[in-house]
Amino acid sequence: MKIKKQDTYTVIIGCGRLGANLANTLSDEGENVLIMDENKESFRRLASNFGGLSVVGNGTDLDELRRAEINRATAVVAVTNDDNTNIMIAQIARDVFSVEHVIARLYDPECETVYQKFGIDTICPSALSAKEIDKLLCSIQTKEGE
Amino acid sequence: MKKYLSDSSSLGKLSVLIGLFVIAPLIVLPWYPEDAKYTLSFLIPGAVSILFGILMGLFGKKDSEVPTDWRSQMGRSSLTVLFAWGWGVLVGTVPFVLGGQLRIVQALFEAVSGWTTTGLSAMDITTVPMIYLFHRSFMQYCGGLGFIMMMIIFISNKQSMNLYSAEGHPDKIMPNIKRTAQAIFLIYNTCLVLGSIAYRIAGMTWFDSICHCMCSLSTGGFSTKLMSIGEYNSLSIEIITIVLMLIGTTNFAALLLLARGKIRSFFRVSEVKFMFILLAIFIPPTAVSLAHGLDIGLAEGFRKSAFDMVSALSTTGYSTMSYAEWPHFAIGVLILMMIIGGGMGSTAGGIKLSRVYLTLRICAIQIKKKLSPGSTVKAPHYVKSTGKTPIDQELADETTGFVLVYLVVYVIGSLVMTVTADCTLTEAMFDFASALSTVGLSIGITGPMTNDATLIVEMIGMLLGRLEIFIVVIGFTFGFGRLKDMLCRKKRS
Repeated sequence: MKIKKQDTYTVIIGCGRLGANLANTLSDEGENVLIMDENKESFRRLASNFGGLSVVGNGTDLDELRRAEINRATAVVAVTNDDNTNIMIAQIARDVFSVEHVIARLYDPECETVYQKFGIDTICPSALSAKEIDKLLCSIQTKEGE
Repeated sequence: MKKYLSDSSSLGKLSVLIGLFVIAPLIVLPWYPEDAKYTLSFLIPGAVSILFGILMGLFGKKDSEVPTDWRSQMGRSSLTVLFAWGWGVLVGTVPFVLGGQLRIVQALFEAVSGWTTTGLSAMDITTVPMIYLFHRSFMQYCGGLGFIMMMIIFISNKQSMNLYSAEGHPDKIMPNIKRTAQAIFLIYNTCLVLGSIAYRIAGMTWFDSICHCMCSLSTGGFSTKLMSIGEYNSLSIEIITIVLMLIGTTNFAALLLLARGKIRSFFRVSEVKFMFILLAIFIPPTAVSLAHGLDIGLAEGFRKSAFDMVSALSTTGYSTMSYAEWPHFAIGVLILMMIIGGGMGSTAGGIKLSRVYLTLRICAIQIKKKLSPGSTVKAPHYVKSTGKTPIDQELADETTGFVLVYLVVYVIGSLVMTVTADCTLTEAMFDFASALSTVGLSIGITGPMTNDATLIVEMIGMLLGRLEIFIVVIGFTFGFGRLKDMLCRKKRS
């Protein structure tokens, strides 16, 4: 178990609320984390006890990614605030650097089906929220039905 | 068990660690059985510290219960760092006192000088038992990395990163704090093994070679000989020492670049370039000045100048001769080198090369700005071992602020020294620069005969210099704030 933990190395692109939160959680669990963002200011979202690396750079730039040793990563998470950027990063990670697990965040649920063909795991907050809200509504309706 | 360990309070863990460090010198006993009579002087403080640590771990506040808001965390980490260093000094002092080697203030001084990797000494080395020599060297070896770093190597938890940056380690070189610390530890120990072997081949005994190597890598500078490295009068030993001192003063992230074989990116790092440029500018004129002033040949002048410049700049403090007859120019350059100090995130002290480099760059940028038309836009940057970094307003403020505070402390300390030690201004400036930048060279006013007041001033200088001033201020402010809160609450209840 311990050896396996040493080997995981997660690269997170985009230090927004989601990216920073994820990075903090992983770092607290003692995993290897690198987070990249174009804007230095975004890193203030990281907790002061974040123990991983933070790199200023563009996530679609091959040289920057190489500097972040993305080829060694076991997982890449693309969570910038732009769908197209996320998809592009995910494709680069998958095809150029052949990373095993690639996860991208998508705002637009309509794109999802297209990218599942590429073998990229996608997370769509709006679709997830819709599902959850639907569940809540259903439970309310069943309660009222009784 | 492991989870329990990593969750228990940092203070307890640090205390256990310090106890182990103080017991460690006992491993020389098999080779020097005549020192067995000092066993208890080491065992008692070590055991007390370990016991205290275990009790703290059992009954103290757990790290996971600590509130996580940003401000109090900063204060708390600074306070923990202060505690570690204060406790380390106390526990490190006891063996000298119990063994009857030194007065209390002298023993305190010796311990501060050891942990802070300074190397100023109030001991008469010729009569000291081996086990104490090893104790001094080992303190410097551990102090070079710092207590917090040592703790993280073994156990890390959520608080580690806060403590790590509070102790003044700016670099993260691995995507995980524990692995960063382990990588640094590995580099450090590899250098120790290689360095000791090199010394042995050059003609030292094993004991001397290990002690000297520990002290040059940590840029400490305690020697087991009265005349320091000068005792050997051997060119090869001096060259090995210069190399080890340069390694010690280079930032660990840059060393890692070198270890990975990226030599070109190593020499592209601004700090490294700046260090070699400084040495290239200052060694030749000093050599000429020495050759002229001491009536020795130019080659001999170069040898002395190169060794002492590196020793001062790396804040190690090994010397090959006494400075009493040195010309004023050479003394001045040495003081300058000592104040500039070594690399950020290395074991060295001083203002730090990169801060001085940045200050010079900021000055140059200001002048250029005045000369060029108002609409010019510039985006200056410098090269750190992790890559190009822009010089922005925040960095500029931080750097110039630190440099100014450092110089203010330096001037005040030097002036106080002229009173307490009753010496000339040059002597005071030399020895206080040596203490504040944790160098350890002395022009002659620090030694077994020095009075307590001077020792105390130097102790304060060494601790401020090692912990980079601001941490001490933050820690004390936070500590006093907590104390005030507690008193107010008592009054109300």
